Amino acid sequence: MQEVMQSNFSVFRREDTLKEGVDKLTELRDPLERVTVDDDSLLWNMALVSTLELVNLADQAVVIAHSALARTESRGAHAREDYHQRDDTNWLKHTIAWKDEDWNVTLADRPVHLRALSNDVQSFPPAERTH
Amino acid sequence: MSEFTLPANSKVGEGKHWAVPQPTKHVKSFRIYRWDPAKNANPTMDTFDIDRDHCGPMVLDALVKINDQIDPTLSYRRSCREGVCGSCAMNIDGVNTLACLTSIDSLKKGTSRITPLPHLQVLKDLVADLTGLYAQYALIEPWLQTDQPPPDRERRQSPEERAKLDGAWECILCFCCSTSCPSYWWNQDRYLGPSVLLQSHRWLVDSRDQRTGERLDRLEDPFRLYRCHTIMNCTNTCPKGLNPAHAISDTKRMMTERD
Repeated sequence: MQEVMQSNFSVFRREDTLKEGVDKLTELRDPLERVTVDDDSLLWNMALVSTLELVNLADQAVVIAHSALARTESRGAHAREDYHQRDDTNWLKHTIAWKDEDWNVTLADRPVHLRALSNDVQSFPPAERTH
Repeated sequence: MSEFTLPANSKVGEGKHWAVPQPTKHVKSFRIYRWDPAKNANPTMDTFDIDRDHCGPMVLDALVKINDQIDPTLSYRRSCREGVCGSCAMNIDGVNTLACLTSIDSLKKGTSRITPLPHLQVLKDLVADLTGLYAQYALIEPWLQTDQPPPDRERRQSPEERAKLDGAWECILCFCCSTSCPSYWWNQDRYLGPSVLLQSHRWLVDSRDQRTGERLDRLEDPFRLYRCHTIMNCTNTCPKGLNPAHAISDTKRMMTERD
């Protein structure tokens, strides 16, 4: 999982490598479901901690993978080589993802709050970072 | 005739030997201290043979490999793997140091020995109980104390004032120094030890702190400060190259000068 996330979901992304990454991750579902812990100690059980971390990271990895593939623009640390420009018309929104037990992912979106929470600073319209 | 009994769990036996599955050219062996309080048995030294062709360069890499591929029940503290967190402090071939900053190449040929930090209670395997050290750190109140109201911006220091903190702020509280100090071994219930005294000194010389007098009062005690006998093990062992012994002697100087 670490290798797939490093090579397929780093900052610079492309549709074919993202698709390949999603497939590779999906193949990990069965082995990950069968993970066991070989240490039954109740004290300083590093194997148990690693396993719990692995389960949480798997959830994160799968929703990151599907969300990255769906977002057809470049924004911040999501730099698509096939979609160089930031696209505020279609993608000025948060991705919301749900992962089910079969690792199917449902995507939706939520608008971005564009007004400041307090009156201390003025709200300003989002713009591309050019520096 | 007097009878002597050793404290519980002080007899260390021979443990398991985990050999390399296939014959390989570059093998490094580690004898590692193992003790599990749940097992109700004396500690043992397990031997792990590591295939260096499939292992990272540092001792911590070897421990990670053991945990991942050989024996997942081995416990040790680790976090940053690059010498900034101080978690993986342990005794490697008789020297307290950080496993992540010690390259396997730098160790002696043959088998190397890894044990927890000496003279602390062991919680499990290489994990020592640091409760007492943290309590002593809390005792010196390691935060800025002043009567001045908070200014609108940062509290400013001159470059010279700031330079006095060099050699103290780099300390990551790994406690390699305190646990290498024979004086701390004997009196760890009352002597604060080099790491905590280095931090104490960091606040004594901070130009923004106004509690210098109270901080010195707190050290005015036959044990807390004055059990340092300039043995210098602390400075020798510090994996960050700091000099706690100098900080302690400077604290003693401040003590003398105010009398």
